Amino acid sequence: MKKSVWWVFLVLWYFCVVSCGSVPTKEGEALFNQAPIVWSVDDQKNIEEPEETEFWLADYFDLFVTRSMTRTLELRTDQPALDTNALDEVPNSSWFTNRIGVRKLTSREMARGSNENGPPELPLVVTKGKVLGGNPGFFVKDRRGKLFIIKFDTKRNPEQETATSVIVNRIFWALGYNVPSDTVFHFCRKDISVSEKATQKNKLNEKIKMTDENLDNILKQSPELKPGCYRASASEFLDGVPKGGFSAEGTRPDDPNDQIPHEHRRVLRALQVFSAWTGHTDIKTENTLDMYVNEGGRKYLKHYLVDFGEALGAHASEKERYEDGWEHLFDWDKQLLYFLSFGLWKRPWEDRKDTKWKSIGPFVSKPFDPEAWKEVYPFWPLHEATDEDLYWATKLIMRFNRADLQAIVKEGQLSNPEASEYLVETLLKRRDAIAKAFLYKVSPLDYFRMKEGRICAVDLGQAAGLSEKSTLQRMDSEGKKVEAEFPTAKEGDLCFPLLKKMGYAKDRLRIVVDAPVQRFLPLLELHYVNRERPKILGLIRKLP
Amino acid sequence: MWVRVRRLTIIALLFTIQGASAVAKDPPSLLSERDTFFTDFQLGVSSGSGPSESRGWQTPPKEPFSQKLLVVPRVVLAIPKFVLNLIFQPLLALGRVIQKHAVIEHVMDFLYNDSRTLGIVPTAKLASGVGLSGGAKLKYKSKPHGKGGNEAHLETRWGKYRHHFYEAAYEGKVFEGMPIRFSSRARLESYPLLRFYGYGDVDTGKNGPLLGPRDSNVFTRYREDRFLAVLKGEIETETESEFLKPGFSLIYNDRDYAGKIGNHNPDPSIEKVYNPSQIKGFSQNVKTLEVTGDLELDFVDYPGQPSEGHEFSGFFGGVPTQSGIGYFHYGFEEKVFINLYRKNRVLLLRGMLEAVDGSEERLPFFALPRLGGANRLRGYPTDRFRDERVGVGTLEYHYPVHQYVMGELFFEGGTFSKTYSDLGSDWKFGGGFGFLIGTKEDLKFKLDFAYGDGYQFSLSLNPTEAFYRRERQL
Repeated sequence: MKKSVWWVFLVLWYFCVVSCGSVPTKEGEALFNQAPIVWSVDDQKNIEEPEETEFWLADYFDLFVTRSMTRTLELRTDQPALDTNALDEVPNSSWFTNRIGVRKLTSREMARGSNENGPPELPLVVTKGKVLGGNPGFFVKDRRGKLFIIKFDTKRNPEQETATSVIVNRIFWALGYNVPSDTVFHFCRKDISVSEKATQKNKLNEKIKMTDENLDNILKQSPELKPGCYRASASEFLDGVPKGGFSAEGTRPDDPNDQIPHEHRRVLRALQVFSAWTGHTDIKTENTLDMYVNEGGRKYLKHYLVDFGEALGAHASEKERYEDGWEHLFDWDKQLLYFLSFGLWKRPWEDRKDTKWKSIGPFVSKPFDPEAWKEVYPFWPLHEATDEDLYWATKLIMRFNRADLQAIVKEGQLSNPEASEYLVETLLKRRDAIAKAFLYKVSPLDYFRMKEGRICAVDLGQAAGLSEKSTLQRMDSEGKKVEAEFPTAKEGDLCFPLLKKMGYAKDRLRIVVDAPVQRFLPLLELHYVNRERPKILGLIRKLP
Repeated sequence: MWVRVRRLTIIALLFTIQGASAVAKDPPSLLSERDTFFTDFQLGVSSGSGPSESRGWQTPPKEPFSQKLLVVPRVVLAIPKFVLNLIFQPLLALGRVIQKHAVIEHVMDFLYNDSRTLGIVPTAKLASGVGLSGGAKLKYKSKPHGKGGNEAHLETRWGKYRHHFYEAAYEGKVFEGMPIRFSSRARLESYPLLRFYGYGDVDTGKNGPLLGPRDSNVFTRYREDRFLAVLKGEIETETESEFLKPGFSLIYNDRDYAGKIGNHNPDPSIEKVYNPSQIKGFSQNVKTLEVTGDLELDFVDYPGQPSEGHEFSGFFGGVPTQSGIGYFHYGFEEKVFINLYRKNRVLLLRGMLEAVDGSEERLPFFALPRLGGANRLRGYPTDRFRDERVGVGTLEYHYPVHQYVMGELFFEGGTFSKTYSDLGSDWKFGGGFGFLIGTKEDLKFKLDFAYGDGYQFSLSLNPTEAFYRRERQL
């Protein structure tokens, strides 16, 4: 054979191995230890006060050009998330607290979120002008001496940003993220004054005195409820010292608690699903915040997500950008494709329409493709999300029901009830589209527990209505031969006997969707110890 | 015992059980009825925050073989990655420093500030084939902040194409209450590298010296020094969607084709090929005053990237006979924008005609309409053809690429002749593609790549406008 043919074979073999390679777990090898499942990570140890980080405009060039190119050269492959426990769940940490994922939240809890002190109490004193962000605003101290950041709607879209910031804030709180306390409130010009010491920065980055005229100029840009009265969103200052946003990649060098590269944190990867669901396209380092807190005598960095005002279509509406959620601002491959296709290809988002309410941007359930969803500025953890990460996030959003969302949306204080109902309906439809897209990428078998000497679990696909009927297949150690079958009950519940083998056991399980269309889902490997009191040790959610 | 109690307490805290609440099921079914999960697991707290501590591995899984195989290509690709970082990281660092110290804002504030009425604006222009020119403009406006008011400027520019350029200009409403906007400018400038290919397109193979302009078509260059003074008046009647702008222009030129400026001697010189005495107007101190009536109609939906409507511009006038030179001069251009799909797939049809009329003895070479360049027949270099009548037809298709970028495909045909009866007998065709950069409201610039007489590249601020700044080019 010619040399070139050998080279072709070699390259083909090489890429086959690269793409198909896997690590099967060997029979008899104990993968998990028998310690309790880790549900809380101690990343709140005392640390020295870190430096404040800043995000510069040049960093956008890095995102779209330099890092986009160098990431391609890194030949990145799927890496499992590193902040998960043996059950492939995310333990509590300075990044995340399990809330709706582990328990039912009441509507009251959902509506309250992290808001403990309520909106600002009048009168207000302006202490500082706001520099960053697209919308006008300032910092105030209320009657109680509490500090808030105040932001307004644009005249073009009254209620939009203020409602959105609160609604999406509550959703992210319920999901488990650290978020500030955001509320919608109203005030009149007579209720607010400018402190003698108030300052703002001019475009030369110089601190200058803030005057009543400056305040009036900011208020002039906002819609009036009645002459001299305004609607605004208030975000209460977080406890601690702000230390800038967390980076999308790597760890923070001056935080010894930060051991896991951010792109490998599931809580950040899962934002791919959560942001897609809520249309939070403006997810970026600038909208995150590390606070140096003192809790229980320990000083450490707590990681927050902030500023959700551009979600629910608001960013698309503000920037007149209907590709929002479909393309990065500079999406080299897609835009090259558009150029080469001479406009003959109708881009999927071109059917996207504005809603009939100015308070809601083009936040729609159709067209909506969860798998194609993209943020405006590349946020690298989203690009690292594996099927397991997407599944986990989907599982969480499936926990929200209509009553939950109604309670949350009510906090946005939209004046038109139809608009509120539309938001709830759209969130539900987008949730279902996400479930359809991601639940079957891995085995949807979940919530394992031991019950009367049997293993019980739930087929989340069936529970979510994706299948009418399904069967659990117990496979042999090779994962090829079916050893037993157990039909699922209504709602996806099922219980099945343990393997007869005593000691450390690996149970290879597969869900087969029987109806409406037969479909074999990926294998899951459940590890448990079979003894007098059997115990689940861990699982591998997706086997090749 | 206390350990168990502690664990149970933490579990209770972590999973606050809220009691089963029947929640109405919405399509499709949810998991809401299963309120609390994982309660039968003991709560483990990892001692550290590292990746391996929470996963509970007894034997951590080995790295997949595929990862090992990727080591070699990753090492190889680390080299270009290193090079990219070497190039870009210093630039990024510089960008951060610039932003941190608001360098650009400080420079801008020093040069030009909206709150002031006087400012300095640096200018730069890069033209295909003729290189870079740069300069500065001293601007004055009667009203700070925003639009409106009267404006004046002094500008100077130097470069290869335009050797020097000094301009004083004023624009504004002279008479308050009258809807007329006046603009005037006086300019002294020198172009050392203008092109001349003779008249028409006669290719006899002859190559001078002492050819007549219609004897053969040969590429040459010539230098023009001139003083230009323009007075332009525009009556503005603007409605919400339509725009009508009648006006007039008085254009005075004092041209000189015999000056010697610096080292910019054109090559190949016009004098080496053609007989200057046969080229009417190619001499010293040629003075003309052109008077025209102008009309602009604008019925497009968006000024930056129109999707529907049409635009018309035209002028009629001439140069009264003086010093042996005199002619009529007129032209029109009509552009029709047809919305093909969703207002972002747009077809542009353009027709343009420009002509001079008069006795050949009184018709100077510089007055002849020309073809070629960014606004007239893009597949050909600037001023490639000149004759008494020229016409261009354009078919251009715009389509979306990015929020601020439209792609375009175009095909153009240009014709020129001495008489109307011959117009259309010889066509030159060109086509290509390009990008329109800007918003619907404000087109910033246009990049064109065209093929006709070889490959041509042009960057223009005035796409497909044959008479763009006509009065300044005459």
